[in-house]
Amino acid sequence: MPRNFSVGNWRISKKLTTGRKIDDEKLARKVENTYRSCSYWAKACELNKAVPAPLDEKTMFSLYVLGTLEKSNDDFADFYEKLLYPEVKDRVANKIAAVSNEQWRIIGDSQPPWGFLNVYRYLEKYGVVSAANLYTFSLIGWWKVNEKGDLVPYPTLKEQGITIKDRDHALRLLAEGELKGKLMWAPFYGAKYKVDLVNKIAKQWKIDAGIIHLNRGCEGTAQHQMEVKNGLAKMGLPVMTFEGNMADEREFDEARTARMIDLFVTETLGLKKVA
Amino acid sequence: MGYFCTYVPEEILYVANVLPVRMLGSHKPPNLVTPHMFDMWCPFSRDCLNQGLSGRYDYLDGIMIGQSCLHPRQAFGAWLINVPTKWSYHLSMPNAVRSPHAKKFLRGELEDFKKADDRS
Repeated sequence: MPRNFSVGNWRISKKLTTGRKIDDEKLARKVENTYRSCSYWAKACELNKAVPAPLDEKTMFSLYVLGTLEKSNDDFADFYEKLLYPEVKDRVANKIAAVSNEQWRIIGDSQPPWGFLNVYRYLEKYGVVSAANLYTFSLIGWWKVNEKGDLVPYPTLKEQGITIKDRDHALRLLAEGELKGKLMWAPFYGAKYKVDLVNKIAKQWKIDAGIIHLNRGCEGTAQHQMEVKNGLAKMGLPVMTFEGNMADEREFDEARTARMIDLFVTETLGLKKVA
Repeated sequence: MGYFCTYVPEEILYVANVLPVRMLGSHKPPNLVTPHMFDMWCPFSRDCLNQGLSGRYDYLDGIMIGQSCLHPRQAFGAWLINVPTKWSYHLSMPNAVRSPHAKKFLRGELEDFKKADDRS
């Protein structure tokens, strides 16, 4: 096995470092699938601009899982393009809400405390739907900012009119999508960049307030969270934060968080329980 | 020129007649920083940002950071939003320092920084 593996060597050798032959047709299909999965997940998230929102964030965590596992998978790409996207579109057309009594739409940030997703169910009692989150939209979804400055789904290769010519072309397209489309890396590009993106989402997805999980379990996505809070507040949105840990249940106080939600939702947003 | 943490090439700053100032904490309670960095982040990074927010480094002409851990990078980002700063620079560093490409990459980054420094 070559000690200094690189894409360059890969390109020349015709074989992987494992000695296995590369199936270039399969590679092209896999790259096309990745574009389909990433683009159609973003398109499904884009449909959540609708009022009422067809998806709530808790459901979105389940739906993006296939993409996190294997976005190049034929069946998974088909799922996002041919099943999920049309179904969410149908929900919008028929005003089928994720939270039937939707009154307020909130935006989150970073991963949730995974052991306590019932936080979202608790919010539903007040008619609050978590409709958007940079993390949830872009862990799998690929996006771009269009000429108007709006966040829009990154186009599939088919939509771009691109046919993969060879291995080099396939790898370049894969790198291009990951580098240009994956806004999940925004937290690492600086506070202002992340704040600008979150503000765009809040505006485009008609968000009324922010509830931000200050996530002690992921330093990456937790980057600049307080500046995100400040950015939303400058837009005039009320924002609540609560500390927790996506990976360690010992660092989450469920009762205290529920109490803070009660206070925020009733005192700041002026809502009453509706369910 | 104020700078965070390690990796900033002070040699280039000195030869450009720029005085590098390593930004440090104050050992006082960081009473301004919590609205910008919550308590998880390291006390040193929070204290450095607190110095900027309190105006202790208002004599600086600019600030920079060499790509280091996420804690000072967050302080750097919050500084740029909240502290008036005339000039700033984020110097990338190779993540895989044992890669055969690392030296070439770093050389390129240092050359880019030198050009940016010359222009300012």
